[in-house]
Amino acid sequence: MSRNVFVLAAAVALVEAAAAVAIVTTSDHEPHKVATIALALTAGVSFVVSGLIALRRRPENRVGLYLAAVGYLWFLGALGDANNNTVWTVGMFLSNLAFIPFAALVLAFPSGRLAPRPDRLLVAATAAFVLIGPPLLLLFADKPPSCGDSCGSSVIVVHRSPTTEHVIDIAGSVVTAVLIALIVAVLFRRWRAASVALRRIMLPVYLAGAGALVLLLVANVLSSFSTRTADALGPVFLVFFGAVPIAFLLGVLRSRLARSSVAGLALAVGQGRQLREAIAEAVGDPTLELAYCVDDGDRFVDREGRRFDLPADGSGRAATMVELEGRRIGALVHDDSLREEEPELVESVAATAALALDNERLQAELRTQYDFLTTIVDTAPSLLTSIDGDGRIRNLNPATVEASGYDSEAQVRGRFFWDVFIDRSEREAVIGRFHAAAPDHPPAEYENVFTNARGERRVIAWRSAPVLDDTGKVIRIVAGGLDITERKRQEEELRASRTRLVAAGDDARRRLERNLHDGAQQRLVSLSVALRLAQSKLASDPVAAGELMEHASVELSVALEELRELARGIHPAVLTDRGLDAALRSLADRTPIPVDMRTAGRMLPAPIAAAAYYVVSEAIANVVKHAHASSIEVDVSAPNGRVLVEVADDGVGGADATAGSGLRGLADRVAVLDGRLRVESPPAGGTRVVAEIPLES
Amino acid sequence: MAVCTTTCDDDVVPRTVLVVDDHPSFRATARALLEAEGFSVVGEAADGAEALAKTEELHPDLVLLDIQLPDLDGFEITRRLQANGASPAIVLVSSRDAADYGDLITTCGARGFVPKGELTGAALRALLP
Repeated sequence: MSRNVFVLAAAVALVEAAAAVAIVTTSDHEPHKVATIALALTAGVSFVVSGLIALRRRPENRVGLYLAAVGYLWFLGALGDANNNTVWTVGMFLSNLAFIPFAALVLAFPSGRLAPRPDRLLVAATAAFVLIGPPLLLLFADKPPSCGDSCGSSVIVVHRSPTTEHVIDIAGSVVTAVLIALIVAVLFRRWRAASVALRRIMLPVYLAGAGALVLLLVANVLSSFSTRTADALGPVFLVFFGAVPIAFLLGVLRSRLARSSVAGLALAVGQGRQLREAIAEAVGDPTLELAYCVDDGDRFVDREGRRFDLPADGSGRAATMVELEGRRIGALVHDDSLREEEPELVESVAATAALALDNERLQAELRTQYDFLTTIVDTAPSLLTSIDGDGRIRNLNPATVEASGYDSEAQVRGRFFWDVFIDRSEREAVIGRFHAAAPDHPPAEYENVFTNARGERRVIAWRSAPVLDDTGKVIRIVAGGLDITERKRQEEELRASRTRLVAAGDDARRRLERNLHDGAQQRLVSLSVALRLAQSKLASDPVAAGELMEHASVELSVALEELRELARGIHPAVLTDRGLDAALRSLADRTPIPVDMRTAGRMLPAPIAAAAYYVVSEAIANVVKHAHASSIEVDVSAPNGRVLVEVADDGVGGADATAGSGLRGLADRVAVLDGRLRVESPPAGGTRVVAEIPLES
Repeated sequence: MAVCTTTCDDDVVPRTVLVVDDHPSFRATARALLEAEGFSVVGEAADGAEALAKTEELHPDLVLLDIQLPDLDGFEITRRLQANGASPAIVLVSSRDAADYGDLITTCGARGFVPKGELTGAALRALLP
């Protein structure tokens, strides 16, 4: 409001006040002229001045407008003291109009906005009542009952009826009381919902306003019974009513949040108020909801990231889209009436809130992504941890907790990395390296072995990298680790197995050489010597020579048999020539214990057939040597892409697969083919050796 | 039992021999061959310990010593026999080739080496003085 308009408006008020004073002063029927003038001037001037000041200081807030309107209309009450009956009758019509902006005033405070429901309904009801009530009464009575002698006469009486007049009067009192009670109830509810800061602003206004309303109620009720008592309340009412606009003015001036303006909203959001509440207050719709765009504007979600469907036409709700830099980022979902009545306001609020809404949308999106990442980190089989510049563990995932051997994250968080993941003996060295890497902590890879809290030996391959802040300072070191304990164990096992295989090969060749040397070779040597001897005696002692030849012949047969046996031990020819089944049957034939043999009945790849043969052969040899068994069962089958070889006996059991080199060698041989060997041998329960070899290996 | 002296006629006065081998069939064959060729086999031993004891006891002129024995090898036995002061002639035998043993045969103090398959009285005599 410009200064000129302000001055003009004040001048109008002054003219009005002067006219009112003139009317009251010259009145024939006003017994309390001084009191009436005082009331009219005090209340009217107070409202107008307060309103104008409020409008000037807070032009965007309608509270000022309502205040001023109350003041201007208040002066019209003076017409009730006019001597001319026509003027007086008009004055009767107009004297209560001030209550319309007054109702709006108390309901709109402090934001200056009236919610579609119930605020506007109540203001409309008040308007209807004050516009219809007095004229209706004056159709049936010369003057209202509250007038006593100090009133003019109605010029619109159509039918004098004290009964009708009384009924209308009583009804009017009841409606007034109900309206006031409803307004008080709304205010009370608003009070309860208000924040502490808001209550501080509302308190003086509500006290004065509610006080005035209660006074009005009391006066209204009393006037039906005793005009004198009602009049006696005049000065009190005067004080209260004069104080009300001042309280409102102060409230509006003090209230930052009450500025319903867009600037006020921005300020409110800037101060960290909940965006939805701030926007709801700014547009005067407490039911307002916010929807955030995700997936490039195709889908709406709420703050928690849940799906949000925009209201359909005719549902009583409407959506105002919020855009930022030409991109749709969300929507304000509000009462349909707002779109009709305040489209610019909602649009400008939407524009102002865009940045804040986008912020919240990003937060909602981030929350979704964070949940996603958290899920990944929590389910990752890798160890993931972050360490601060002091070397303390700040974050760690479940895999890291598991590897540490502790039961919960809380037992590990905040401890030094090396206290948890490095053995005491290496700790000093690791701490030294850590501090040497400061402050840059460049990316590094290292492997360490440690004994965790459960006493388990773990091997972890770590990779670490620094996380920098925007000044390039290291704020965290993120380390990802792979638990390679099992891999190491398998590598170790593989190495040991290879070593054993090589050793077993060497051993077999040594035994072979020994067997050849001790067996057939010795016999052949003896044979050679004996033949030479026989030759030398052939002439002199033919009988002795014949005996020597006889002996040599026997030696030769034995040597041949030994060579055959030896050759079979190197590799059974029958296995190569006629397959596993024939080789196993031949083995069973040479075994001194009955063998019940079931074979696969199909050709197997040579390495698998050989492994199966040696498993059966070694197992049977063990049974013969150690088991004291009366029978042996051999079962070779090929179910589901693998070969199963089982050798079971009914002997004494108690065999230890890890004790002898024989079974260990078999296990190695089977392991080369990706198979497994297991030995079940409970004491006195017989022994079962089972080899399982995949056919695809 | 005749004791061999440097004046002995080889064909008349047989040299005494101890046969050391862990294979009974070789011992038997060697005994038959050597006796047929005029040696006197005074004893047999199946391992190193027995060889040392029998040498001590029998004082043979010649020890026909297999290199590979279950307890001690022929080189070690040769060393011990010479350390004991008793000094029979020692001829090593083996079913392996001499080359398998490198220079052990020539440096151990034995008179010589005869492959088992080539054992004859003449081969032995060639190594003796």
